[in-house]
Amino acid sequence: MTLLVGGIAIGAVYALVAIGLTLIFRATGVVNFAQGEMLMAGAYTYVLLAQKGANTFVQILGPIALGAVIGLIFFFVTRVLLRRAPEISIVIGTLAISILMQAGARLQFTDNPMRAVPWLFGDRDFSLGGGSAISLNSFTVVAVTLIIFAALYVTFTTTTYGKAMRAVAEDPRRAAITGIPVNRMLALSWSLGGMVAAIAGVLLAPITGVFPAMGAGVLFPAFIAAAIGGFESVFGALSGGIILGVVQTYAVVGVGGVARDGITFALLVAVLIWRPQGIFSTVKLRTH
Amino acid sequence: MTTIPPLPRFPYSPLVYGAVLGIAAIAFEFALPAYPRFVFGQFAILVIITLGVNLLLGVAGLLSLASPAFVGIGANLSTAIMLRAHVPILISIPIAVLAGWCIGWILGFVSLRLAGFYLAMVTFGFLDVFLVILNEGGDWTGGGYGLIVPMTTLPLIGPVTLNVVIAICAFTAGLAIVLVRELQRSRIGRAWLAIKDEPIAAEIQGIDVPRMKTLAFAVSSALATLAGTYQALLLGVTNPSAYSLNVAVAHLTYVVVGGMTASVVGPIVGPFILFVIPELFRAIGQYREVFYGAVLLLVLILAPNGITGTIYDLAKRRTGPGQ
Repeated sequence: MTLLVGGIAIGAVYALVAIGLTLIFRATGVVNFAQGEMLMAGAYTYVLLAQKGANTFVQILGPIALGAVIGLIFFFVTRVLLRRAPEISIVIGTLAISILMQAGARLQFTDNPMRAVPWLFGDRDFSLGGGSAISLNSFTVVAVTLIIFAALYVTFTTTTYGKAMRAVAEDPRRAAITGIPVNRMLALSWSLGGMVAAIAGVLLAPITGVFPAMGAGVLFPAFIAAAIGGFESVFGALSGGIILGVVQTYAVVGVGGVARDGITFALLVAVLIWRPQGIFSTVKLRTH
Repeated sequence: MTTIPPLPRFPYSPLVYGAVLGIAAIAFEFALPAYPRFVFGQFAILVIITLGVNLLLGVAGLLSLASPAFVGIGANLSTAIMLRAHVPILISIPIAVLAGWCIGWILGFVSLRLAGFYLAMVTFGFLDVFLVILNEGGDWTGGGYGLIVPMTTLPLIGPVTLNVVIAICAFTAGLAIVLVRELQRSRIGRAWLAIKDEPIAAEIQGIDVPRMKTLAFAVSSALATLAGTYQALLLGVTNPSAYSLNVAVAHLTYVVVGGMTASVVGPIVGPFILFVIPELFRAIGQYREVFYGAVLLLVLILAPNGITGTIYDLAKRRTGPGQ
């Protein structure tokens, strides 16, 4: 039980990063290599605000606001500065920014991890009886992930803005013809992606500590989670993340740490061969 | 975007031009002081690798992250053969390159079913499994430290010192530049370009698409493997950290900055801007990563299609759309 909850909690962090990746990819066609660094920036903001003694409210809203701003900067770079570049150059561009952000953080804060305190329940554990206990923070992580998922789901299915964003993702040109401000929607997608990443940073900070490469470590599991989910629906990313988290946790305990990556890729390859378009996708994949 | 400007035919075999370029590279090597000479050797190896990666991504349009795995296969296999079977490098290198060709060819079959990002993920999986094998391979791979490359000798030349290794790298790079250029202009190269731009039309034209895709993987992998055997000689060890995902991303970055065109200038310019220049500014120390990121971003903003791609675009604009 402890294992399952732990796996789901790790999976929830993967899922949040994967949701951010999916939001941005679906809207703009860009695989964002800097998603992990957006997370890292959120985590640093959270820790620094906590050190400054800001109240909890500010501690949580600060990183989210910063995430939105970083998202807008990415929108500017990819959509304005790199507007004539082919897709792969834009992807490499996000990689360049991620290198800059990580190197900047290393210059500013060094590689030593900073400790962060979980914001809702502190370090308390929740006893399950029979000697097993679960960190209450795991519950926070899972609950926040589910709330974000629900909020995004409701936004995309019921509100005008959400529907407009989906329309832009589907076909930007036709969306523009119907009068949807395409650029504004793309900017919104980027800043939503940044905000989700920052929240993931706040949640991950107490678990791993805060250091410059913290985001880079989560990025590739998140890629895999997004690929398992099909890279196009928020629900797919959520499920992909949680499946991956649980499978990895059981692989480490059952077979050993060495097997983790192998089993992760076996899972990915199995999914790609069985359903190249992702488990939860209904769209047929182009093979060339 | 991928049109090739007409050039005069070669009056001599490309081997002659390759050899001349290779010898010029060796002459350049001995004009350099000790440390830049070492950087030049690494640069030559990167040019060979980037030629292969560009052939796959820029010419055939296949995105693979497995290039460091083949560098690692070359380095480890040739070293292991030398250590275990006590054969000279003149035998161990061809064996390693042949193995790289075959493994690359087999990996190429993945590209028949998957494309783009998904192909990248599976090739990354291949790289990751390879790294696990390296780290857990015990005496055969030297585990996390890698193998230490033994001193060897070559007939006629004598002991393989650092200068000799750099000379071999430089000569091979010169030769590879000319031969890869020739290959990219041949029927095979044009078939690759056709597959990249219009896969369905290419098939209708009678191009054997599966065969061409697996061939692109095989050639690209063989080049990376060859570079790997040299890298082991140059660095003296086969440390697994030299074949990580970051290295794969660096290879892709060289190709994108170079321009992803059927030009061999791109694979020379890419590593030069992103490897040699930061290396020459080694004195900036801790700001090196910032410098690298800034250079990369700046090149992408100024030349969105990479260096050669943007030059082609400018040339096309000057001569007008009728060209």
